[in-house]
Amino acid sequence: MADMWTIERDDEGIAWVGLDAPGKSTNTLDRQVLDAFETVISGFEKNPPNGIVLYSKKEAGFIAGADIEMLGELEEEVLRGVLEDGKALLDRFEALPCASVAMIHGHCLGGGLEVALACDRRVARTDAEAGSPEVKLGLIPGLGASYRLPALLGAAEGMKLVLTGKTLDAEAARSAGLFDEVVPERHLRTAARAAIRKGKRGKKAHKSFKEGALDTRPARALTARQMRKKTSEKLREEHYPAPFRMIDAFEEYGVSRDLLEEETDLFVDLAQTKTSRNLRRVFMLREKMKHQAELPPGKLEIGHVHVIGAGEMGAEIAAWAALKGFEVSLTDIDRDVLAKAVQKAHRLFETEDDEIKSRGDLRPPRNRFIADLAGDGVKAADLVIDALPEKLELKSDVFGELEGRMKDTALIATNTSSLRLKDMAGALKKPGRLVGLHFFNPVRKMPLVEVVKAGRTTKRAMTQAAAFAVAIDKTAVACADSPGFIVNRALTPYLLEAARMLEEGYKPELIDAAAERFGMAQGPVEVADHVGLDIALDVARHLKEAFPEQVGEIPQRICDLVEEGHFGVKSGRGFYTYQDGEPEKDDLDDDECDPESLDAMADRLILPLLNACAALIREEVVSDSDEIDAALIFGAGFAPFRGGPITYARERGVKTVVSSLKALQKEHEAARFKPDDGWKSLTA
Amino acid sequence: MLRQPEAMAAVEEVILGCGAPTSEAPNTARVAALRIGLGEDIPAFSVQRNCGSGMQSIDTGYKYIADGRADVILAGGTDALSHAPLELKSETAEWLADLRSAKSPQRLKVAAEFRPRMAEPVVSLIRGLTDDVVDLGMGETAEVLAHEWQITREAADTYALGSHNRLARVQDEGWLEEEVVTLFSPDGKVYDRDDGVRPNTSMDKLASLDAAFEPPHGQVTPGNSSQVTDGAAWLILASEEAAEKLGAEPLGVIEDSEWAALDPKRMGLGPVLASTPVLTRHGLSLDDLDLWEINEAFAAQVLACLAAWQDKAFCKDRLGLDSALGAIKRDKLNIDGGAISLGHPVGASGTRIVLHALNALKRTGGKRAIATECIGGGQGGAMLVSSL
Repeated sequence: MADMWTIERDDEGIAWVGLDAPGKSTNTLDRQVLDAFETVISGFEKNPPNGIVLYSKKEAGFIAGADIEMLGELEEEVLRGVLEDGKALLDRFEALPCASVAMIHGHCLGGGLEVALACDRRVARTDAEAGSPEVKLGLIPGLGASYRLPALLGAAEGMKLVLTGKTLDAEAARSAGLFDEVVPERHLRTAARAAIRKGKRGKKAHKSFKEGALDTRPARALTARQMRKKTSEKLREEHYPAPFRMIDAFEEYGVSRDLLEEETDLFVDLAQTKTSRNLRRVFMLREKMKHQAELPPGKLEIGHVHVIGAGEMGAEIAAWAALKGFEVSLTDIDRDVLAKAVQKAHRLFETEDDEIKSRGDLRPPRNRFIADLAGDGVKAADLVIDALPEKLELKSDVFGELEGRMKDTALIATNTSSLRLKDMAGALKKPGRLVGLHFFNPVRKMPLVEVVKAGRTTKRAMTQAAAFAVAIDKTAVACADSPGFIVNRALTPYLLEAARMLEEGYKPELIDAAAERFGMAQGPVEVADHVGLDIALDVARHLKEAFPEQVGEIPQRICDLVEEGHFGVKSGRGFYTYQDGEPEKDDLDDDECDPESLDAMADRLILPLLNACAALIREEVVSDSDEIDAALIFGAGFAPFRGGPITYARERGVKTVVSSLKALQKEHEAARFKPDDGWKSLTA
Repeated sequence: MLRQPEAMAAVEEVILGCGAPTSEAPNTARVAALRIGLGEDIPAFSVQRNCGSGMQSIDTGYKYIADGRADVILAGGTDALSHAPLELKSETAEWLADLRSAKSPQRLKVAAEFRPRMAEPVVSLIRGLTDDVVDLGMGETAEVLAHEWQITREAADTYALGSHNRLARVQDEGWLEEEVVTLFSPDGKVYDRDDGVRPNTSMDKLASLDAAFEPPHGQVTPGNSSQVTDGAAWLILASEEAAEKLGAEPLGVIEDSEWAALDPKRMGLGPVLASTPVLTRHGLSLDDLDLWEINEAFAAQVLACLAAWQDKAFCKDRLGLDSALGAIKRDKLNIDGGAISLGHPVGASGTRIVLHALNALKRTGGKRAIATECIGGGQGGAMLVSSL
């Protein structure tokens, strides 16, 4: 315990207080850390130094926030106690007679930012980032940020950070007024010392006189209305209550100590909600999967990635990998396709790399990305990614040819959606080097990559491919070489059901509204248009061969649209017609949106999806149900606050799910609703 | 990098010729080496010898290897003349400096000293292509040679037409596919060939152009001059032993090189002065060479070189020979066109003509070639290469 907080007083009498939470790679706040901090503060109260600089001894950053796992384990009243003690502690720290400075590097999030906000000033290293991401876990700040952020930045700016959970990079945090200074490592201590010399900052409830004058109930009512409107554009209150409760509290109390009091009650209430519990579970799941897949420094044997096929997926995968630090060569036999891919890549670099406009060619992603018409990159590659059209013969030919030119140790990853790896492996002398890396469209936005193991895929290939996925900031889920893998297998019945409902005369807007009401990020009709109807149809046909009963008949409507060249967003028309990538949707009348019938529609869509998930477990395509939850949330936009399909099925009750499926089977006289045998193992 | 990963991994030094480095990359070689991912620990330096820069880099690398200082060197040349900056006149720069340092009451006074002419930029490209010592533009030196060697406008235009026709043919045959790398610009355009070639030009069209440098009586036109363009070329140089160890297939061998200098006003004759000593050293006649690459700075200048070798007095007085060296057959000279049709990115041309001489030898089954160039400021460079 003693070495958790180290205190060194320098010749100016400044106390340098470093945090090094034992047994963790990053500092998080838990009871032990706060208890030990209390001892530090008591010491300063008795014997105040000339100044206090708080910093982290961890390489990763300052403090990443509260220990999320701990939050889940605490009883309601214990949690309340921890929060109240923590806030009292920060108040005492703030009240110390000497100036204090938070010296920040890396992440400074949630509770970490709240500790930093209790300091008089914040001096940050250039790599620092700050934010209050609690709403993303269905919570609000718990240690005073809901008061201190608006007090420091002004109500609008401060509340925006709390309500959106947005993380600011160092420069953005400085211009917002959150950081006082941003400097490189070499000036960090000097800047912290200079900030101490500025002395204690006077405490004000408001950023400015004007802010204070406007902080009246009627003025706040107006602001709150704006905030509610903005928030509901992105989130539904019934699914994500946290920001809405926060706005209520702001409207009621304004930027005052009363808000600080209210914060604890709200936090404790929100922590008990299903939404928050599921969001925290999903967060921890993602962290767990990341840690499982990532390799220690130096163990990733992939530096150069050669992507074959510069179509939509190949182009995006290549550009993304270059952006994330890999040497990339991208090839295609069609120079015009390649040229278009180059243009797209540079657009991505420009949106993701702030400095590219001013420094242009000197920025790393541009140097790392090579349009390689001759396909020479295969010789230097550690990983060759196949993004060729879905034709087995073509892929086999290319694989056979390139294996002769590849490094001995190089791996081949295929991005196929509808073909089987075992069929492709036949073209290789070393079939063990073939692995699946199945990305989702658009690559820059979709966090999931399915890492597919064929019968002969080596352990090294699996480990390296998964670690590569993590290295480009994706969540890797391992699965077997089964048709449709995880996401397409589960999503196809859902999309096909939507198409059947369209054929039955349901409005597409209504079908999407039903799914969105359930909590899907996007309704199935729009999703199908985004995936591309041609691709969805191709996947569905392959799946139907393998699982004729569960997939059912393919609705003629999709075949007709594909026949006519209406592929969805990319061709400007699919189920919807698109203007600049946005669907033209009719407004729905209120009387069309009867909650009961919307829920029934959602059931008809979601239950076949759940049924396919049960089959995935039974067939051991994945090793546990967490992987299905993660895959569907990160790869298909399944409602995260519901914790994923299997968690949702369990919460709803497996028996209820099964009986609902049976009811649908009877109603539609269709075998596709027949409950899968996999439910039996889930019931147990 | 991608074509020969093993050889690139063995590179010990990078030498790059550049005629007009940009202000962001004064040591263009180092910036280029880092950008292509060659490694922080590989030293790199740039060389500048105007139009000879890209051959100077090869020559320096060749001598390093010959001296045993290195085994594998990446040598090349580049210029992006479309990016040549506009500069401030020196009086404008002084005025700006005064304005910045002036205290506020003085400021207005200094500001009032601005004169409209100060706003005119200096086009650095034009400055770079002007020889200040003799106060002649490069095109004007070509006019000097045309006059002295009686090169007619028609002869120059005929030569230029040939350059375009020859380049168009090799491009269409696809014989440059190994030599020219297809490039893609960030806005999605494809550059698969040098685009200065005009396969549809004719004597009539060329004859219709006005003199570019000394109107109205001059005869050097945009049509019979090289084109100011962007370009880059690299060669991997290695000792015989290193090439064998790397399992590389060399394009050919560098046999010898030479630099010469002369009156800047007649810089176009540089190839004659630089090549002749090489021929003498190896006991070769003009005709013993299978191919010649004489950089096409100006049609009149190339033709003046040919005339000089045929001129007894010149060969005696200036080259110290007993008699005239003779004629170079047109079917051995610049057989695939040159700077007139594909452009003259100053620093890159030296590397390009050496590379092309080697590739053309391979294609035609020839044994020996000389690549040579005139150099602004009154110099010439020549390199003798042979095929394997």
